[in-house]
Amino acid sequence: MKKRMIAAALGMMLLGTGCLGVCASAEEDSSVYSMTREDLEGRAITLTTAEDWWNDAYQKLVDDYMEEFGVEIEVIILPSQTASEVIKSQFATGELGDIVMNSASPSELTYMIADKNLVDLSDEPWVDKLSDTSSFRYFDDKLYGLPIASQDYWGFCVNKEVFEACGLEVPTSKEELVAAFEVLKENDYIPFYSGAGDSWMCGNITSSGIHADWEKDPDLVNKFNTNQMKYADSESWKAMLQDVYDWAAAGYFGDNFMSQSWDGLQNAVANNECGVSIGLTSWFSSLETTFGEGTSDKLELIPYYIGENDTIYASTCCEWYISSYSKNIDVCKHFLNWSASDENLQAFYDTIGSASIFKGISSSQYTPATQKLMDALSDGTYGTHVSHNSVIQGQDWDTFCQLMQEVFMNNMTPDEFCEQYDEYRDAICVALGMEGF
Amino acid sequence: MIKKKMYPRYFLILTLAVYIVFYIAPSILGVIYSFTNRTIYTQELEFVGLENYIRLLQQKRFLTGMKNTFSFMIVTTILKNVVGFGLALLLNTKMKSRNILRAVFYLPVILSTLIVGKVFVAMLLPDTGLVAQFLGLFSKTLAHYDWLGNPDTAMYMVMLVDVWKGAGYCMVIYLAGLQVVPQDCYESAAIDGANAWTKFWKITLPLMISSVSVNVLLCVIGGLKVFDIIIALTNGGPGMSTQVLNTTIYSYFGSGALSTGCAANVLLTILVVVFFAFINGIFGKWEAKVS
Repeated sequence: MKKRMIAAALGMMLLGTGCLGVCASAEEDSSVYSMTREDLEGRAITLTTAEDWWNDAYQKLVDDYMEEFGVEIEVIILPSQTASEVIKSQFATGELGDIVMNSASPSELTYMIADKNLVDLSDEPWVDKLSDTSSFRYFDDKLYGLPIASQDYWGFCVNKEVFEACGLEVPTSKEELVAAFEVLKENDYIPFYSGAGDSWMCGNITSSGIHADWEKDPDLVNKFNTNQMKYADSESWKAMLQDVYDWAAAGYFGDNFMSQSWDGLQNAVANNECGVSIGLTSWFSSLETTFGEGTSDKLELIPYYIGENDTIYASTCCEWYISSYSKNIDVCKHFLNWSASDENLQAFYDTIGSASIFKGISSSQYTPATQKLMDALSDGTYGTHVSHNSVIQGQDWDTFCQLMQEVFMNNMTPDEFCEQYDEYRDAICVALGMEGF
Repeated sequence: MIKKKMYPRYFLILTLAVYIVFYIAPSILGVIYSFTNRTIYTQELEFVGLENYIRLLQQKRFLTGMKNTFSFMIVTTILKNVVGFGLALLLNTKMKSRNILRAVFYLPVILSTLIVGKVFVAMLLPDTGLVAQFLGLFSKTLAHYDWLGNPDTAMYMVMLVDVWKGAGYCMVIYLAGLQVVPQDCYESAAIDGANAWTKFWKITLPLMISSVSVNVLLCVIGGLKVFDIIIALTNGGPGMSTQVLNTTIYSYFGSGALSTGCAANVLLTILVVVFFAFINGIFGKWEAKVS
């Protein structure tokens, strides 16, 4: 009897301790978000990002937070050319900044070794504000990053002024687009400013490659991820590559297309040097900031009419992740939560002018071109696709983009591209220990 | 008996420890990893034998890097030595401005490679770059040409910049060598009626063989290990046209394939050692013949 009483007492004690632990943990969590300037002043965190991702809107969030709470945030901006390798190396060694801004593509969370290197943010207060988290969750169904400005809509960007000067209408199909390229070329415009000198632009144009095949076979991505299928086996993928190859050969990308860049794109569009380019909604706002209000009025986003595709590209750009090795996880969580407040999100999206994935947050600064696209998406005129590299695992984006440059330069045929990249991806999948490889 | 004063041996410990930790141990670990399946995704190690090496030698990407490295090494070694030797001969005369010119030609050597890269990228831009504006005086087509963005010329441009940056270093070694060539030999040759070419071929070059040997070896090793100038000028592009072994290794590590990167690095080290031994052997025989 005595023994039973002792056991019961011990059980009660353990239960009590457990409850206390849970309560303490919950209290600790909630206390993170109620920290004040007194709690935070003098603390310092680092935020690592890449040159291409960072903009004034992000900087404003950082500046405002530092001013309000007295926290020192050191923003480390890596040069765009080497950012990818540097960040990958940091993930490999675990030598990460407190906050890392990196790709939002779930397939890339693999090399980030998310479950080891990153803090699970699935239960953060701001998660409920996201209209849809499915495209950001990792394969373990956890959310590891704050997808602030992570989604945007990309399309082929038609310069209506140039088209009008050539007597052309905005294309509504690939056939019309290619016919327009011929007319633009005859009129000495660059038909399609591809920005191919920046290798990632060569990768961007491929986003829709598997979409048509995926529509036909819903199990397609699973087949890719279990080695039942390779890029070489996708007809719509090869059709897209063939178009890139043919358009380059036909001179649709212009004479010096390898000297075209993402930075040069704004000038080319603003100065009416090209008829079509690649564009996205947030880009319209930065175009207006640089070249004056109304610059983007002459632009219209149409689907990626390439290969068999006729949809707009809904991209996952980048997220803010918190390193699990950080000694300032509380400050980082507080900063992310503060950034995701309605007031800050509204100000943020008003600055970048792009579509938002946060419920109830809609930029008041949509340019007419953005508004037109959003309407077309809402009424079903255009559908969307997600990029192949965000769903197919085992990617090496840098190698992929460099090989795509070879296709642009007609140094590599679509078949040769597939052969080389499939071989390279296969090695990565083996290293990942993926089933079927 | 006078006892030779020696420092205590334990003075070596710190230096040796630093050397072992930062040089010897990583090198050995690199070789070991090259025989495993080590990636950034997993901590588990499994011995895979020569699999990484075999896979590398079958990969077109690696072979392209190797081909480009050899082209780079051969062309830059020849040009740096020819230009360096020429400059040394020119600046070994009694011209008044020789000291200033020596400093001017050596200046690129001390500049940061990344800065040199950025400067040349700006200079070689089509239409707006300094080179394009100069060429534009003669031809609009030439002004419009993208020297670094075109796969036909990108590697040559990288080589040119590397020669511009490295020839001054060769020049200094050759100048030092020229100082010790006895003037009597030239005087005797002049009495025998030898012309400038004969003097160079029969006197200068043989007596300079140790300088040539040092320069060639340094250029070959530097050429095989080229990395920074490529990253600064082209980042390996456009496409794969300026990918060399080191940039390929860099991207293997970048994509998380640590053991493949280590295997590629071991292959590069073997290449450097083989070339060093081969060239050193040739020059050794030549030096023995001359002396």
